[in-house]
Amino acid sequence: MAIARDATSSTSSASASSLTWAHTCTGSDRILIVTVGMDADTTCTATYNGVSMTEIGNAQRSAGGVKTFLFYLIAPATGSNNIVATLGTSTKVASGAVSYTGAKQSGQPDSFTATFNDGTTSFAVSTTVVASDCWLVGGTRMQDGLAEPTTAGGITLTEAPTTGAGQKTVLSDSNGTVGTGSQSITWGQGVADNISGVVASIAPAVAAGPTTVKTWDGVTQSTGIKTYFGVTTANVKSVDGAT
Amino acid sequence: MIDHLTQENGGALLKEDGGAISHDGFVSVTEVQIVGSRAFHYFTNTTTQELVRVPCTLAEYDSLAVQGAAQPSNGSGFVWVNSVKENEYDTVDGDLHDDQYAVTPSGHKVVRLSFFPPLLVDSVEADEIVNGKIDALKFT
Repeated sequence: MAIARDATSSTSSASASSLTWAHTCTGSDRILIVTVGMDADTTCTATYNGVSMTEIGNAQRSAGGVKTFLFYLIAPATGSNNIVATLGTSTKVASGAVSYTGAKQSGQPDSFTATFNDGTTSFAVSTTVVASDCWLVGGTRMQDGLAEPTTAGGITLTEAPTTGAGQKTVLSDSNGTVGTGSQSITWGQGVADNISGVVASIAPAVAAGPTTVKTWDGVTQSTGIKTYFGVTTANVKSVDGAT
Repeated sequence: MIDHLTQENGGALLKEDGGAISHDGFVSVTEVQIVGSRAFHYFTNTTTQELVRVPCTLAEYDSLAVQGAAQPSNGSGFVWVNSVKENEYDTVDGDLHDDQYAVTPSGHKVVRLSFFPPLLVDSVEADEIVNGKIDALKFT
């Protein structure tokens, strides 16, 4: 089953120790990704509809602050529900969220990288993708968001500026599947400044494979199974009674 | 580093909004205290596009994090944007104002500088505010 983007949302605050906004999830084999960017060296947790999200990783500049968190939740509740990001201190914070359908419902993320740079206009974050047909998704906190941020290797999904400050949190994805091996998202900011980010690969749901059964004539088949009555079907009762 | 400042009047640095910073780049800041937390819902007025801030209790805010929580409403004509929990300061309205700072429980200092645009600095090291003054140019 192929991954498809479902919905995005974002919000920000000039100063908050907790930030709440709405996000709507629909479809099947869902996964929700949330990025939270802040300007303090602090902790962060996130919930969706009261369910704790799992942190994929976080990164901040070497001197602290300009920090990015990335979280995921498999099978988030459908409908419009609250995302709550809770920080260890009151700080400038901006967030983005994206939900997908067709995602594998265990073993996520496929891979991830969390890193930073203390002064660059072009910030590439690579991760080694393992599974076929993954999407990349990533969040970044950039110090200089006064110029329009850019995303290479994908598209910008949400861009949340912080009121009264130049910093921005940007959420991006690959806008499609990527190959296995090293893949990256590259963000650009206006001037060489601090930036941090987390990029993860999200694996697709595994399609229901053919069921292998031993038929009445003793032949093990996985497709086009012909029953004793000569009817070809995908759902047969085998000689041992199992369907 | 000083994109938002202009140099006039014999070397004094003037902010674009007309306020003055001494020529050595230091501004006077006043300490206020963090007295607790408070919470707000933010709504957009769909007619005027104005952002409206509505106070709520901390219990009301925390209830947003439970399963199946209802989303805040301010009646028709308003769309919920977000809700926040933030520091409350011992100022008249509880806000941190321009050129005020407070020491956080972790020992860092949060400072609001009256630059253009106003600049909120979350984490200032203890030795960066000396005798009530801060080197503003470090944060431009």
